[in-house]
Amino acid sequence: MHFFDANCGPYGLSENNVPTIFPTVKEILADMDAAGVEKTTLWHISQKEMGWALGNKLIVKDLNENPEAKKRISPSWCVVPTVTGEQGSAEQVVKEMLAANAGTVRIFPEDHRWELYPAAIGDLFRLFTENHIPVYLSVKAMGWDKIYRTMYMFPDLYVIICDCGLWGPDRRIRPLLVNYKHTYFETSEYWAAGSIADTVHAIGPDRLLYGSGAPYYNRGSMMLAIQHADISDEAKELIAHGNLERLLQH
Amino acid sequence: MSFIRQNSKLVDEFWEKGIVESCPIYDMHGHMGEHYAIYFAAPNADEMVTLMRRANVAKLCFSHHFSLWATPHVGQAPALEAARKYPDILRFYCSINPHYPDQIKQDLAKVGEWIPYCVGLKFLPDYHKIPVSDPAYKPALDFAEALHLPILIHTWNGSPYDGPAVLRDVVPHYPHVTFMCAHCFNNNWTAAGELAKDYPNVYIELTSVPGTRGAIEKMVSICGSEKILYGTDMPWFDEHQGIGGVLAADISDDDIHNILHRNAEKILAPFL
Repeated sequence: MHFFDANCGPYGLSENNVPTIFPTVKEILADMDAAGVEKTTLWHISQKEMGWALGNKLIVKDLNENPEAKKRISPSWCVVPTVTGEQGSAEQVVKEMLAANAGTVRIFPEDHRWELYPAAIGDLFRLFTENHIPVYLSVKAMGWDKIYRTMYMFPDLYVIICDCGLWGPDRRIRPLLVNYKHTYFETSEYWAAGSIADTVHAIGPDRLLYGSGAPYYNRGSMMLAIQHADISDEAKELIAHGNLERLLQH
Repeated sequence: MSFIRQNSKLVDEFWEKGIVESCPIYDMHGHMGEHYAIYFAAPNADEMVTLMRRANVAKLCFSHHFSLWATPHVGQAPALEAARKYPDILRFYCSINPHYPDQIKQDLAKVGEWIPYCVGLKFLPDYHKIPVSDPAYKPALDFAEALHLPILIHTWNGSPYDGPAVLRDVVPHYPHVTFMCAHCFNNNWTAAGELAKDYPNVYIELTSVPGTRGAIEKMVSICGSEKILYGTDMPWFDEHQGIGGVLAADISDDDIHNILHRNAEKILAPFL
């Protein structure tokens, strides 16, 4: 068994110098080692607070300067609509992110003042779909209604729904898992008793991803929940790392 | 390399087996039954007990959702029925709904005969929208004081119903009540630790806290692990998620034993 964390971040110093236990990738690696987590995805606080240009640059720089981090951390890429020309064409965006070994996409429509509709982001989402590149959709940041609308408009998009809230989200997440075949769901706030086994028995083990929610949450609580869920060892392996590894083979 | 935390035999054993015989789990905060706002995979006694046995839960002390919210319709009957069905593992709190004083009177009159299935009272002030300091709670508080009963109280930071200031007003008047502050005044860990430190009859209970980085360590540093109880809101939260959150905290194995079973064993001793 090994673990690939599908929801870690942000790291880095914020604009307000809010204390963080992950000021650099070194602290992230130490925390992963302490919990026995082999790999993680990651985003930088500046991707949200300072925008795609500086944020993407900082995370790439940090990983390039630390060989172990580069091996164990899969960076997320921040994007905005291409229509302003600031980030280049959709093709250029995908080319640059793949060149940087970024496996996933983080978006901040509210903070970055753009709308999640085809007119704004359709070209990028089409390429992400063609290249099987997953986009994180945060329930905490976007709310369920916006996620539902996004899936309705982009039904083939690969998505990782994250930060679902501690009150069991099954009535909201299951319709998405059933109706949209490329929807994945990370576990950092999926705490309801027996819920992992219940979901696996209902829809299979292929759509759940171990996520810790670090730094806000520690990594261990959901590791133990997965390890001792009433599911097969094969299903545990898929949730712990296999599904995310498969998802990132784009 | 170990998982969750390095250099702890206790953590390693939990990882391998899911249970540790020398460290049974006393879950001091559970519920039962359907709830309008959530789908539960295991809402009822049979399913809950099955899950809890997988985690070596020795006792779950719970209040039934229906008794808390549909009080005038069901009283404490669903909780009593479940506790009688699984006396080895289930104990219940008599749910106090301050909007129904006659029901409170009726229920308190029976608590004596419900013991040991009943182990105390449960208050839910944030949801019932009446402060613990309100006269509506006085009959229940007086009753618990007279019988030296524990009370599990939902507590939340900043709440005008069950925040730290409200509990500081109430606690000194009831020295023989064991106050168990559920959710540790989420997320004012300092206020929780200080209240537990200041009053020997105050414990803080961890439901919804394990997993939150640094919270348990903070409270242990203020009031010691001897004043902290484990709980999950079962079936709201999973036993192994909660246990994993405690194991992941940077505290000693001795602290973990205190939190997961020793402190609760002392409180429940009169009922076991």
